[in-house]
Amino acid sequence: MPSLEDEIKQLIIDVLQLEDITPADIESEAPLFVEGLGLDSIDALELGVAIQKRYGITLSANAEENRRHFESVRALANMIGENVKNERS
Amino acid sequence: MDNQVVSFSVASFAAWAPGVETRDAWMAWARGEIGFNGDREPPVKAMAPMLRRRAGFLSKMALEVAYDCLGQKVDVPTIFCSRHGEALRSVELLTDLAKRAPLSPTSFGLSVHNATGGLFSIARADHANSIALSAGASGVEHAVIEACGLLAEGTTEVLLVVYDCPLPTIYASFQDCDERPFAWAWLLKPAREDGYSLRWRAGKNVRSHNGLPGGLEIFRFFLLMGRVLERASDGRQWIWTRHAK
Repeated sequence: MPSLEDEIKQLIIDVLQLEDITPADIESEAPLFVEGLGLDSIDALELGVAIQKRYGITLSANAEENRRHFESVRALANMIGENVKNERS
Repeated sequence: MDNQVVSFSVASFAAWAPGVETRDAWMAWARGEIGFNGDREPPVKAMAPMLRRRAGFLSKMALEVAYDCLGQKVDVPTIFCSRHGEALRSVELLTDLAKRAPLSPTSFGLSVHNATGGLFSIARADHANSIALSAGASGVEHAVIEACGLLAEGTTEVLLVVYDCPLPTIYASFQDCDERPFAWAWLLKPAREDGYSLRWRAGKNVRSHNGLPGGLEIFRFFLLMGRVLERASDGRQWIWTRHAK
């Protein structure tokens, strides 16, 4: 089974239609936006919708919090992992 | 007025459709030797991949011919003319809304009629005037009138991009011609001796005998260097004439 981080990398590639990029090209700790992958604000919205759909998570309206969650693949995985755990408990 | 006219010349052109990608192929298509075939997307190599990934099939066809026809030129006003535009995206968005599913922000942004012109402008960092037009079955005629208006105001050239796709199946009952995916572009300049004129007057609607959409009927007339093409749509009679030197 792929790790949650790998799963998120594949989700990013599929949802944002990143041609010629494989999950191995995305570093878990590298910034997703502007630097690193070079994604923009529309990508952030698109990714938010995809994560909502896939993991049933409702993102908060807190911009500062979201900025932290969307910093990198690792941050996203932590946020999703936490939410899924809380859901189950 | 009973009889109005605009005149122009075509300095260069480009065209792309699945299976009809080269000039030779377009000539063969115009002569009825080959048809459109397959669902291959144009490569749009001229556009940076990070922007290109946002464009759908229809947009990519339009961008391919726009780049091909304009080359490195900037500051040329553009007219992007499509009868149905991104109807497929709109149907997908409406379907999501009906299901109360969240909408794709990217798809929402690209569903508007001037999205392709916007992508083209952003990608080339070109601030030239950009017009998005949809005018029923006589879209090309209205786009040419628009272009001639710009030329009359003193613009030296205008890029016209005509592009369309078949309607989504849910709108099948509105289909009134044999829709195909295609895109072509003309670089228009002021009239010359060997240019074209377009006249129009009130007239009855007559379905074209060959069932081609206006964009393809006019482009075939252009490729075959026909002398006169008469069309009737949207309550007008349109007469295209090619003038020989």
